[in-house]
Amino acid sequence: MSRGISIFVGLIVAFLFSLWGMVVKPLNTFGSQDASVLAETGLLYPTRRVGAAQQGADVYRSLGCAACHTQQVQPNSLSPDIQRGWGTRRSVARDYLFDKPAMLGSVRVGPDLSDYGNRAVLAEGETREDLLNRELLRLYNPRLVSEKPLKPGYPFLFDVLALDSQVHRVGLVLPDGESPIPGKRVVPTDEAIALVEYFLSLKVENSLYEAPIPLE
Amino acid sequence: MSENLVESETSDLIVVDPINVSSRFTVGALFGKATGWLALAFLAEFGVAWKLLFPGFLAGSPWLTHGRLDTAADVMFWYGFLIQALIGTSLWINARIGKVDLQLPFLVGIGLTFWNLGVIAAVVGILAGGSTGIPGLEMPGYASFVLLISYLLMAIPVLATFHRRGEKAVYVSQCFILASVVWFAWIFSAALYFISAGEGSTNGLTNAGIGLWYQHNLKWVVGAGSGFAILSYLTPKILQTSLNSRSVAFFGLWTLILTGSWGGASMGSPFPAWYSSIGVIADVWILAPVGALVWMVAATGAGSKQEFKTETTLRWIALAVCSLALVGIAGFLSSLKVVETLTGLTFAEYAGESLFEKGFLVTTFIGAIGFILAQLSGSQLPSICCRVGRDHRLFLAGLVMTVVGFLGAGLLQGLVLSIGKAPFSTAVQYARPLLFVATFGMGLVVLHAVSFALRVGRIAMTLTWGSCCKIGDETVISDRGNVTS
Repeated sequence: MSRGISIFVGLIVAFLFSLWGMVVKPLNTFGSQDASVLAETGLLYPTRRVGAAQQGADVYRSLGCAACHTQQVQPNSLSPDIQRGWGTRRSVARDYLFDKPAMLGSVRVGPDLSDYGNRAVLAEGETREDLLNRELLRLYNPRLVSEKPLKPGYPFLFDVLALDSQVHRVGLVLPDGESPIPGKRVVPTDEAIALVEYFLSLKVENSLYEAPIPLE
Repeated sequence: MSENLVESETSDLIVVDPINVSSRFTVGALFGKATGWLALAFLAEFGVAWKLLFPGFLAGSPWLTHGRLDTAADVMFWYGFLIQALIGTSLWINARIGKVDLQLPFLVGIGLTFWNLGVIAAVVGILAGGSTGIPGLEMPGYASFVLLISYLLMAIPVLATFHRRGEKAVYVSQCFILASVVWFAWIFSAALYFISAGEGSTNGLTNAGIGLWYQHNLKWVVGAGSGFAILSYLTPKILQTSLNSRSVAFFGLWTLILTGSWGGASMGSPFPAWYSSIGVIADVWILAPVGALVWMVAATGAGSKQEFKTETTLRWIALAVCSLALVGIAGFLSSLKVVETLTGLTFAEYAGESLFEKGFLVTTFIGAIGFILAQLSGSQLPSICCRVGRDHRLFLAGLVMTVVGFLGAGLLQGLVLSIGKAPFSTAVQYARPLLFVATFGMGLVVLHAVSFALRVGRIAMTLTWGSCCKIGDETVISDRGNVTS
């Protein structure tokens, strides 16, 4: 066998070996996991996102939010994510069962969002509508909810409409003096609402066999 | 072998052999397009870096969000620049070493036309919101399909040129570059197949895993493999010596294939422990091929210190080898828990990327493209300014500032975040001054890339369309190698 052919055969073997170990094997192991009932709670975990939250995952993917935000709580041995309140336990493969695709991210320009749904809690006396409004404000213009925001606004996810327009969507409740143009109202698009519903659906809360919630 | 003699304005005779004549049109076109995409990719990266400092910059445009621009920049770099530069280089190296004319050039022409259309479709698709969200494979499905078919059209002539070679011996650089060319076809088609086959039936994490595996292979086996090929071909050729040790080179090839093809997942990621561990082990063992290549170039160039200081291509090679050594060391260090705790998922990730992509890959290909175009056209690439080497310093300054800026910012971010209760925003605010440094460095790199693309573009136009064009103090040959004055 000539040297050229033996190198080519070696390359094919190396490629197939790598493909088996890093692609085929994972598909047959953690790739074939299914939702199961948790002994502790008696509930099925994880569950599929439905409705607006699922559409919000598509908006998140489409806008490329994963370039700035991770969705992976690191273990205690590596990072103080859990101390910071970014999740009650580390993230594991089972958490992403119905995420197509899982958008893990690789750099934290912004905070981790794995457990954002548990962080965005209702303040005393607040209703869910107030919470939604606050999160929508954060999307529309982050300066309205934090002093030195690091994230950009996404004004294109909102429509600015005349007060008497026929669009039957709830407008944003803006702080005093923040209306863009007098006589106009800011109305979130379906994408904006879906994105916020997606954020609120992100939760890492159940203790799992492979990732128990660490003791305090 | 018959030779065509071309006379320049200065009446120096430039020897243009038929092999160069056969590849001039195709290789020139590939390099012209590759460097154009490189400039666009760096421009987009600069926009991304600017957005880190001023998040409100262009925030009103859905096409230019940080995430979309960042992803588009990656696609432009890997698919627009790297793959076309790889094909161009491999066509020329195989024709030169094999002492044979370029085979099936029309296929390359068709392939590169569709390839560029595919890259445009991918970039526009991502900017319009069609990203798949899978690392390394973000381009929409329609663009992936076009890219795969057109890549095969460009790769077949590489293999045909190798097959028809007159010189039967197989050299180290040929092995590296052919491995890179076929490897890309394999990983790209396999990743696309398994992602579409697994759609709807498997854990979402497996798609991310396939993406990370593909990305790791693209970076190391395809990217680094092609870089290794260029270094092991150009260093001895320019120094007019032989490669120091073929056995060390082959050790480098096989360890690169073995370590570069395994891995992708990082420490602490949500993958099962065995899967992440493979990634960490691969990062450690990547030191073996890196060490082999660095040693090989250093041993081949031993005693030629002066040439590395004065010869343009060797200056780029020296920078590439130094960057590669640092990448290897950084990969090893990042497998240590204490280092990963400080730098993992921080801005330091950008520093590692910049060191590999700009410090190693881009510098290697800048050296190769300059050298090959000089062979094809009979003219050196003119420097940005009057003094040769000034553009090298401009790039070096930009590279150092980018890497040091992002590394410093990442370390600061990691240090602040290691205090469990410190607010996230504080960590990013502390890192801001260093992000300024990195962004300024990116600006210098963009300047160099744009100027390089313009210079390559001019020569490529001349080679492609055969019109005569004066560049710097020299005249570029014309007429596809026929004798002209």
